[in-house]
Amino acid sequence: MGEMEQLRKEAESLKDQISAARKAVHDVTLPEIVSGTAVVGRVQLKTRKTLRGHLAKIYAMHWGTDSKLCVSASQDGKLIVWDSYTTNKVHAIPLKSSWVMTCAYAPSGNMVACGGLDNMCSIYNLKGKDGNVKVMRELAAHTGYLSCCRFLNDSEIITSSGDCTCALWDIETGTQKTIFSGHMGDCMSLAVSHDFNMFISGACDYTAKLWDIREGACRQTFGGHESDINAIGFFPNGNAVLTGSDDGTCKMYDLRADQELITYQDPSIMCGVTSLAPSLSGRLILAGYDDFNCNIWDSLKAERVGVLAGHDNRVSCIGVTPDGMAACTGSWDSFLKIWN
Amino acid sequence: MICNLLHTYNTKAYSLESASGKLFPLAATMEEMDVPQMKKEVESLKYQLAFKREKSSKTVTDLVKWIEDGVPEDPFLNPELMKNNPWVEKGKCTIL
Repeated sequence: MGEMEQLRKEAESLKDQISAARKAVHDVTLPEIVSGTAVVGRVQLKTRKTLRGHLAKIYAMHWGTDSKLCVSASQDGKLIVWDSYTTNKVHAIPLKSSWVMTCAYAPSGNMVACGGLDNMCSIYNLKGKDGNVKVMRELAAHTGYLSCCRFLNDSEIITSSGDCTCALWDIETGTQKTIFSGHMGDCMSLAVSHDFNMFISGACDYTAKLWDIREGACRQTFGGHESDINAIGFFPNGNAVLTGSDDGTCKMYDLRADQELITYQDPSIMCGVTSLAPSLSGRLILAGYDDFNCNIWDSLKAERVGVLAGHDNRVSCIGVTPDGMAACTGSWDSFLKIWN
Repeated sequence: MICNLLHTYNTKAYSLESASGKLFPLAATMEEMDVPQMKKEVESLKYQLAFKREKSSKTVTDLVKWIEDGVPEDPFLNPELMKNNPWVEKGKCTIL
């Protein structure tokens, strides 16, 4: 038997053992535990603000930690930092490359980052001495598009790429500290745990992977989706992961038991999930779809309890404020809407 | 690992044929890997197998409790928490 053949057999055997280990701890299902729980009442969120200013499709948005400012990225080649209370534009940053796919706000509020088909992650300093926002660093090493980025702090950022890898960067030196490889398809999105020790990535290989940032290793791999995973999020308590896929479903995975908990699906939904965000308690999951709407799901009962309708095109991004007071949706119709 | 368009296309084509219920991509996608990549995949799987899994009866119960404990503080589920809504103007008149 050749070495390749041997390795392949070993891999298959290990996968079977992982399946068996998962089965061994699977002594209860989520529907069983919540069989006596009532579905939450109808949730009706209203549009409180519309952020107008982008001239083309919005691809991404991210809330600042103050739950007031947010940043959005559009294919009009601009990053806009908004004061969502007043709808004023705090900064309108012109980008070198208009093919932007992601943006992120640093927890400190000092920087924003973006990237896309230029294969780079560009870091902008919002608190420069002369008041002008300038490119601080261009992180270039990925050999594929930048699909997502998230700051750990002012000196470290994590990126996911169409080159099938994720990376941890030192912003100061502009170098990759760690490369996370293992996905067998384009990495489409990532989310960092609240304690900043782990992150999860969703990819076009239909799996989500949980990574230990300091070890640089993949701890767990979650399958089950039947198409690309476009959106991923950490459950507020860090013990579960949410995914949204082109297969039209969202799933919740239990990190401690290492397995799929439940699927959020409906036969009437025939388009992909583009984005998702849990509410503060995690009882609600807001998910954006290709069909211009957002569905609100009861995370425990897996039933739809509300809809955010108001965009005239695909909802490409969604975010809930850190304090849970509002949700923001961004759309290909060029508008952002604040809901609560 | 360089991921060129052809690799992505091939990966997607194989995955479209796969039946649902499989936890991982088809073995067919592994055929595209070379020996060093395959060795890394095996090492990774060993590390993932070693993870200390807890019983669902404990983890799911804990998760449900955590959610239910948080519901009273969730602004989307409690209108009283939204009394001071920063996105809604207070009062109907502004003094010029």
